[in-house]
Formats: sequence, C-alpha cells, structure tokens
Amino acid sequence: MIDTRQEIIYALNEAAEIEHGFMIQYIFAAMTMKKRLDEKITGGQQELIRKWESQVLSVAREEMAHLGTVCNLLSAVGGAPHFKRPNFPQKATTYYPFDFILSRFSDESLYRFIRFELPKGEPLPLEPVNLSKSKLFSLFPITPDPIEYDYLGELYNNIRFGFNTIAEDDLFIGPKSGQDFEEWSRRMKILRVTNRETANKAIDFIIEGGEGSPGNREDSHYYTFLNIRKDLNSQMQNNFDPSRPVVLNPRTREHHRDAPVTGTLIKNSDSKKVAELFNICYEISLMALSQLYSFGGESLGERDILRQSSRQLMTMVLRPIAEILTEMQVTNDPNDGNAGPPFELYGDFQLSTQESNRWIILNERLESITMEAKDLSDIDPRFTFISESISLIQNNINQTLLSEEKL
Amino acid sequence: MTVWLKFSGWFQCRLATAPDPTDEPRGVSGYAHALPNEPDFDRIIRLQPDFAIQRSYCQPIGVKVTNIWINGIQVNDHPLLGGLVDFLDNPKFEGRNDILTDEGEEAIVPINIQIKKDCCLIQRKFDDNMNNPPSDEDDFKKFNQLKASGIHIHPGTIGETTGIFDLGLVWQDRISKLQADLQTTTNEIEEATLKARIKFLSEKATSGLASRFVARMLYSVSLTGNIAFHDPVGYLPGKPAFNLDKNKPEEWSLEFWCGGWDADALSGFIEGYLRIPLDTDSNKNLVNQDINEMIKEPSKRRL
Repeated sequence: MIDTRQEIIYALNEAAEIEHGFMIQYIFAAMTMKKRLDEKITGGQQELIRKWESQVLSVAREEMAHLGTVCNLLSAVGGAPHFKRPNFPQKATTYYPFDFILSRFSDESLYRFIRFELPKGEPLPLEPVNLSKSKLFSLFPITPDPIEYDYLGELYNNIRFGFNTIAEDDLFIGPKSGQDFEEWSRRMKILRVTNRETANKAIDFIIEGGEGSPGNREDSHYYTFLNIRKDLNSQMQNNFDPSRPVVLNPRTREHHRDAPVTGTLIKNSDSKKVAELFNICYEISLMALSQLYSFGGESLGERDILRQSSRQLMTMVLRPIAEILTEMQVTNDPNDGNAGPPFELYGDFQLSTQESNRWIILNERLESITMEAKDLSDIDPRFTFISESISLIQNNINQTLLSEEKL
Repeated sequence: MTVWLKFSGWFQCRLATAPDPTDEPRGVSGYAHALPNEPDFDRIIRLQPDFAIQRSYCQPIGVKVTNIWINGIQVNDHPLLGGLVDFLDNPKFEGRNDILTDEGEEAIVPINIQIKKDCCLIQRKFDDNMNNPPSDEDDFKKFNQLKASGIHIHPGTIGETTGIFDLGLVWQDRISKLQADLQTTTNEIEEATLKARIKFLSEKATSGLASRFVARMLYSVSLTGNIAFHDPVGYLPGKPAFNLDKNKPEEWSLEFWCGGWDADALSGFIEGYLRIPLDTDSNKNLVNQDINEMIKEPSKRRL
C-alpha cells in the first residue's frame, strides 16, 4: 500500500523508469523497420511498414508525454525528476515485472508491447509462433517487492491511492512554478499537477493513453499494438520480414554493472563510433531534460530553450543517427546482422548543483558531439546535417543565455 | 529607368514534414511521404519541371514571367514574357524543426534568381558571402532577411491566382481519376502508389491539411550579390544600373509569396515581382563564365 510521501516518490520513480524504458523499446523497434524497395519488400508492404512506423513513433511520443507528466507529479509532492534507468537488457525479475529488451520490429516485439500496455482483466495475447524464450527471458510477469503490480495500470492506481489518502495540504508541497508547461510542443501535451484533482487527472491521462478505459480502448497504445500485430500477421506469408536484421540488445561495452546479462557487442569500428555518438547524444538529451525538470533557478526563457533543445535533439539528432545505425553492420561479417541504437548510459549522469555550471557542461558536451558528428560524415553524409543541427541548437542556447546576461 | 518583372506558376518541394526530422528521406510521421515509385526526398524548391517528380493529375510545375512594366508602363508584347524563372543553387526551406525559424517563417536559402528566354539571361544572387547554415552574426543577420513573415490566410488571393477556390473539389476529382487508374493497372508498385494516394486524399480532404492551401508565406528580399546579365538582342532597354559612389550594382528587389500548398502534389504556387534598375548608357560587361556556358547550351538552366 502506498500511503506516505516517500512511497509515492519511490513508485513515481519506478513509473518514470518504465515510461522511459517503454519509449526506448518502441523507438528501437521503429528504427529497425525497412524503408526501401531494395530491402526485399513490395510497394504495398513499404506503405504498410511506413504506417506502422508512424504509429509506433506516435506511441513513443506519448510515452514522452507520460514521462513529463510523471515529472510534474514528482515535483508536486516535493520529489526530483527521474531520468535514470538501468542499461538493456533487463530480466523481469531484476527491476520490473516486464522483460526490457531492445529487439527489432517483429511479432515477438509486438507481443511484448501489447503485454506492456495490457489492461488488467484483458486476456494475455497469443504467444508468437516462433517465440524464443531463451532469447527473451521469461515473458510472464513476476512481481517485485515492495511495490506490488503486474500491470502498469495497477502501479498507477497504487500511486493514485497514495495521492487520495495523504492529506492534500500536507502532500502538495511543490510550488506551482515547479510544473512544466502543458503545451510541451505543438504535438505533445503534458499535464500540470498542483492538487489532488489534477493529480488524479494526470494519472487518468497516463493510464488511458496506455490501456484506454473499459469499453473504450480504441485510442490506446494497447489497441494500436493489437492492430499492428493483426495487420502484420495477415502479411506473414511469403517470408515477409518488415524489419532490418538488427541484432538483439546492441551495445558498445561488454559489461555494464547494471545489466549483467550480455547484449550483442558492436564490433565493426565505424558502427561502434556511430553507436557511441548516439549514446552520448542520448545522455545529453537526458541532461537537458533533467535540467528542465529540476526547476533549479532557470528563467522561463531558459526553461523554454531547454524544452526546445531536448525535443530537437531527439528529433533532429537521435532519430537520424538511430536510422543510420540500423543499416550498418554489427561486425565485419554482413551475415552477423546490423547494429542499432544501444541507448547505453556509461555512468551515472549528474546535474551540477550550480546553475552556471549546468550551462557550461551542457555547452561543452554539445560542442564535443558537434565535432564528433562532423568527423563521421565520411561514414554517412547525413552526419554533416546532424552536426550543423547540433551546432545551431547550441547557438540558440547561447543566444538565450546572452539575452539573460548569463554568458 | 526601372523594369518590373512579374512571375508566377507552380513549384515543387519534396520534403518531410514535422514531426519527422527535416532530412528524413522518405517521410514517416509527418503527412508527406515519398511514394513507392519515387526517389528519396531532397527538399529542393524547383520552379521548373527538370528533376521534379510530377504525380499524375497534379498542376504542372513551371514558373514564368507573366507581366512586364518599364518605367511603370505595362508592355503587353514584351519579348521576355513567358521567360522561365528559376531559383538556382538548390534552394531549400530552412527551418529545421524550429531550430532556425518558427514554423511558417522558414527562410528560402540560397536565393539566386534567374530569368531566361532565348539568349537573354538575367541572374542575381541575394548575397555572395553568406554561409548556410549561418555561423556568425553577419550570417544570421542575412539569414533573417530571407525569412518569411509568417503564415497569412488569404483564400481570395489564392483562389483568384490559382483558379482553385476549393482544393477539396480538386482532390475529389483527382480521387476519381486515380480510382479509374487503379482498375486498370497490373503493376504492383503502381497499384500500391495509387492506393496510397487515394487513401491520403480521401482521409485528408476534410482535414486541416487541405485548408493549408489558402495559406501564404510572404518574402521580401533585397538582392545585392553577383549579377549575370546577357542580353545580346536588347530585350531590355539598358544594363543593370550601378551606384556610382560605391562602384557596385544597385540593389534589386525581389518580393514574392509561396502558398496554395497541395499536400498530395507536394507543390505550391509562387507569385512575385523582381525590380531591376537599368542604365541606358552603361557599357559594363556583366557576362561571366557561367553565362558563356549557358549560351553554349541554351536548354541548361541550373548552374
């Protein structure tokens, strides 16, 4: 039972990790989808795959909105933003009641996604025909202690219990200024949380986005994945494979202390350079998001540029690099398959306690990835554009700091 | 002496739209997609049909000189009428998902306008030294001059200029023709392409996308860069005027709007005016190497 502030914060931290982890797994699968006719697909399949990719990416964007809303919930009760998470892969028993795996788009991955978003009371989806349990660990939920839930909706309802149990005046100690804007971007909204009523609305928003509500699941992630799986299964004749041969859990380091089960090591030197750049860009995006949600003295203008920069890093930098990676070999032997975006965190990323230092560090890191991306333009010409975009994002940040007389 | 040239016509720009990354090659999350039988997007604004990917039953690409005034008097039989108008050097809408500009204010970079008819060729760049993407204060200052002034909703102007007052009706007609083609095609890729377009047009006819047709983006630019001017038979009554104090050509002004966006055709309408100050006594030679190449090969338009 969740009925103290600290328990709410623990549970929201876990919810943040799950939303973050779901988002990454959806993006990974989307990035592996085939795009061109020379990838052994027909014109009709190309159109179908594009539609699926668009739908999966749309769900991933909504997970980002859920993550932002969880940060608002945390801020409302005096917690801190939570963007840390363990590296991939993770067995269900270790952290969450779900296996966390980076796997290419397939019937198997869709099965897991449906399981992620499954509403309590709905039947488990049929297992994939070629399910390899040795690869994907166990696919049935095992409940971790002390927060007991088998379904994500259940976790949020436990959190709701806490919000509705603790006296409102005692619980909501976060200032109203410690809430991020609802209009996160033109295409993404998050909810502000300032009292019990808005906390309940935020929880409804997250649960209904994921699993819908009884009798109305059509706009939910659960329903979207069910439909894609149905479409995919109707196309499975003639050896149709909608995704590139991307390996399971690609990574650039053999060992991660928070992910003892090994992934697939990227050994091709060019692919490894690109994957490492991806990981650093991902970490910088998380740093910008952490700074945005820390409410550590940044002005509205500074917060606005952090919000925009985070979004632009995800769209204009991370996504193109991920797409490039899924077309690169994982080793020097093409038969070993393709690499993919590892989403590795090489260490505990931290936010400086001093605002001025946060900007200095963000600037330093953006400058380093600008140069690194430029150096990779021989591998793929898109890196020139990526490098230019990073440099322009950095310029926008510095212009904001100049106008605020902080540079 | 001043000559004003008015131009108009349909242009094409095959580009991915938000929330896709700007350089997304085929379009995934936004409304614009490269169809199965089409090459990757390249974002280039094309005012002439060369290298445009014309989809069936869409407006033909091509921008021409439509009116000419010399010292304010319209010349209805001027030989430059019908001349081809082009933007050279692969211009693109530069906004980069709000990194460089807000939506609706995208700059067109670079600007290098060319007007060509027979052996007459007139060309001028916005600026000779601007870097793209902008990298210093001077570049950003110049870049800002190339930005649009935002989205303006002008259904009357667009209706009168394009002859299309209701894009929804045009799309309905297009759907019927595509459906007829679908009945007869035996090619799998063509079938997929037709189905994709019919689905897109049917779903978007009543959405906000069709209503973008009535939006205009306005541009107004002073051209101060390199000039190429070759008029051996005297279509124009003089050569580009020089500012004698500075010993450099006077500024030309270019104002135009882009609108009438047809999201199925990936094309829009452009209309504008180019103002050229002329000097009837000038003997300056403005023919450069590029022009000599153009004269050798009259069909070549892109330098």
